[in-house]
Amino acid sequence: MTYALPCPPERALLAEAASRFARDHSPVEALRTSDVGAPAPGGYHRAAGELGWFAMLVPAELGGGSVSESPLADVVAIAVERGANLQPGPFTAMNVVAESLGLAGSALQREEVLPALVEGRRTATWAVTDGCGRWAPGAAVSYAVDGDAFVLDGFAVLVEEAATADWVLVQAGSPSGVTIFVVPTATPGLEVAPREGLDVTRRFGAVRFTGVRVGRSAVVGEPGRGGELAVHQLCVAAVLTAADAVGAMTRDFGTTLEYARTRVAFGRPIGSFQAVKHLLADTSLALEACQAILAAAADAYGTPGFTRYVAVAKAYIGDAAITLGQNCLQVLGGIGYTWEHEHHLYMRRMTADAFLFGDPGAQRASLWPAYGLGEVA
Amino acid sequence: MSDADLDAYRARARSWLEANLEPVGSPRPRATDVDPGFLAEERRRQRELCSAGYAGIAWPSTYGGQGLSSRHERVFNEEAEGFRTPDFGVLGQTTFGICVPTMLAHGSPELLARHVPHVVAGNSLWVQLFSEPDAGSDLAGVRTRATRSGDRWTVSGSKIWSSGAYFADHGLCLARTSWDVPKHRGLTWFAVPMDAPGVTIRRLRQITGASEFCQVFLDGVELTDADVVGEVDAGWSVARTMLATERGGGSRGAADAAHPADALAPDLVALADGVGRRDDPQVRDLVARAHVADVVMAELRSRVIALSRAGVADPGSLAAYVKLAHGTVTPERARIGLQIAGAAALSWPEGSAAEAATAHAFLAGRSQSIAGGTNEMMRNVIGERLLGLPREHSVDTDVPFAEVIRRTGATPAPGQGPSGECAR
Repeated sequence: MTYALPCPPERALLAEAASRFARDHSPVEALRTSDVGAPAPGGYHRAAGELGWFAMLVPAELGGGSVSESPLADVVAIAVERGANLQPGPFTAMNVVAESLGLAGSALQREEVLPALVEGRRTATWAVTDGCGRWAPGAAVSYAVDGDAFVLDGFAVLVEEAATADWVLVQAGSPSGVTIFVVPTATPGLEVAPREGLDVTRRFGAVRFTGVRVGRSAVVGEPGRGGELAVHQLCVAAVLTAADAVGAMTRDFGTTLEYARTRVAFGRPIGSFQAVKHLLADTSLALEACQAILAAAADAYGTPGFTRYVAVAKAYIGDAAITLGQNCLQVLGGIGYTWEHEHHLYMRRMTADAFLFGDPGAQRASLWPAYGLGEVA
Repeated sequence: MSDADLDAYRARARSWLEANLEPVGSPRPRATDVDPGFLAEERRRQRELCSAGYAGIAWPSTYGGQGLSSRHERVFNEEAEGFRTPDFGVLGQTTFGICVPTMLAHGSPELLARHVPHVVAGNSLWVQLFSEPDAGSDLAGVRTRATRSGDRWTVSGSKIWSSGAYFADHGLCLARTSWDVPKHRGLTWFAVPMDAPGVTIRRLRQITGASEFCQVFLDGVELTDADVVGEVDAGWSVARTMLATERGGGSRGAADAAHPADALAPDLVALADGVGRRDDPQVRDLVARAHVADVVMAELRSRVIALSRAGVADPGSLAAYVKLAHGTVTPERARIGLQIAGAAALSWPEGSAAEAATAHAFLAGRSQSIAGGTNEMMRNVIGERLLGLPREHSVDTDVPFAEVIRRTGATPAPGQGPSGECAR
């Protein structure tokens, strides 16, 4: 349970539609019976595309368009509902790729890839973290130039829906700089391996690049000049991941609160005991603070302070998400430790969100250089 | 009112400030010890603001204010940030931020006409006479007794943690006027002249060494019906207003003109530099943690203000989020300062105020989890009034207060004499 601030009516409608869509197409109940995340049901992305899920960060002249003057806040509103309903699919990556093609894509990419993504006809994911979990441009994949071709080598984990995506976005490093590629997953040398993991509401695979040869048509922007765009991509992904966590936190907390109101022990509802009440009050405060900093980060999109706000938001929300998961479990007691209860699904999801695209410690470390105070010597 | 009006107001305020007030580089800390000479000078500064029309900006003109909006007040405070404005120590916020706003919400026109213009003109500072030695978190359990005889009242009791009472002109005092009803229903507020016969003030020394805290003894203080604030026996609703204002629900000045997102915790970065630990990864993480907390706190405050304006819940209850955030973050932040400074916060050259600041902040930071309502009371407010959790079983809310006292065996009426006090 959390409070809703007044927002543009179009955004409220967008969120409402997202919530209804999630319940109709991929209800949380379906996850309880499976041990691993299921792929999005047939037609899921197409229908989501019709609701504008992948269009908000793309200019109107390229077939996109947001519903308010704050496009990232619009996507965040959808991401929150997705987290609350544990939705499948590479939503974050699709928005990041669509935005990047709108910003720096070639005419061909804007013609062949972008509309397919915006409409949800095809899907894209991205491969940015290496096996050690470093979320940094060039960490997972490197490239070399060979005549007109680029040759990609490397290994990336936590690639959402790697097995079903049509394209994969790569931030590849080389001595001459970072280049952003959008690579068809069917390209020879690109190998996808499914993996198991903590978060059973989503499917993450690993992608190995072994001498993957692509042409100039796979490059987004200028070769070797993708560093700035890569950082921006990570920031957008971090905000959307934080929003996913806040949605999951809100739902998990609401369920727990209702339990504390109705579960009776020692002759009265357990929520009347201060030991329980105070834990829930602290959790509620943290959740309100998450909402506040999430909105501030979304509103900072397009301003010079965006990177800093994102780091603060992702650091705070990541820590708060893990704590909230523990607090809710403590109030739910034994039932919260069962597979049957949905709490573990939310706890898994928001814990994964805390680490995806930069865990709290890494975000805090990034603040010093973000304020011009330099890297550690 | 249009933005153009506000812009014009801002421009006028700025040129007046530049022409009349002394610029100060950075925000100066408020005075913690106010002597008569200092006070006289600050009253003069307030009179200057008043005659220029920049005092009581958002208060009704009937009572000496300017009758403008709170946005005008905010604009003026923003502009005044870099200038030397009146410093009434701890009573500045108590008078202008808590007592007068509470009186404006509940006081009779006669009471307001008698007091508010003097506040605006700098002649009247107010102290809260609120907590008692036996009633802190359980504020409705106050035992200061006000007895009526015709249109006259006699007040006796003892108040504590009354910061700044030693230089206040008036006190806003919560007293029990009916003992035969449950505790919340027999309370009344009074405006008490601090120089009235029977008022005795003793300054208390706090853990920081400062003596803002006072205990105030009221021994047969004579008041009249005209001194009653709000309705007799309906004082709890006034108390709720006052608590909400104190806890951050009321309008604020420009306390945070510089947004914490503008710089990385500059005080702690300077501290880290001072002890040569800027490149220590542990220190960098501590500074970043403090910065995250600072920025989130500022955004939380904005959110709570917006939620209050949107009317999603009672503003007084919503203010508990901000108060609890302060009560948890402030001590934690002070501890971070200590962790960064290490040995430098444990001892310093004699008389070095700058180097004593970390230890002082560590001690002063302890108060935020208690003053103005403990963290535990805030958690009750959030749990019960916002999250809808049932109240803890209570044994005294439906019982006449005299009966509660009889059952618990506590002394009902005050009257013990003070000792070692400074009479005035």
